[in-house]
Amino acid sequence: AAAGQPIVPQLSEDDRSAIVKSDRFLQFFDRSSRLVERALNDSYDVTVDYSGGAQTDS
Amino acid sequence: MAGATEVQQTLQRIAARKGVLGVIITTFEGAPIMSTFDDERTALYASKVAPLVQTSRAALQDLDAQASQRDRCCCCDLNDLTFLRLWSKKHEIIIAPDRDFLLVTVQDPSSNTAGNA
Repeated sequence: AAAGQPIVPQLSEDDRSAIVKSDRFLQFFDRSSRLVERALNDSYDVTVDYSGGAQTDS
Repeated sequence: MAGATEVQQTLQRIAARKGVLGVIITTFEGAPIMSTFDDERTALYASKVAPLVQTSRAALQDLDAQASQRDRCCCCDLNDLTFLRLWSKKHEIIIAPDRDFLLVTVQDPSSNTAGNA
């Protein structure tokens, strides 16, 4: 706690629910969630695997 | 409306994936909008990630501005950051930014390697 609590701007509950319903937000979320899901699909642990996806037989 | 419910469902689906520790949506300034983390962690990640995104974006735009002084073109916008991925030994932080919002996913990559059929 020596470094103190992180300071982040806060929104009210009303602001948050208005944002989540806005077209702008939904447009953002549609794109970004697909990007993230794609990124998660080809995740691997780079700290052990530098081969870029060596074959594993199944 | 339906949109907000779908957002919540998608967020939960991402958060439930193997290795994912949590997902946060913030404004571009780092104000949390939705999160699957507790408040403390949400504030911590939001406070670190938002400035990182702003610095990255500014760096890219500076680079692009330098380049376009040579090849000036009336129709091309400044370059923009589309994705930021940080790997550390313990975590991976995946950031999908846009002009107004950030989607931040934190995962533990080591728990993702086993049983990834």
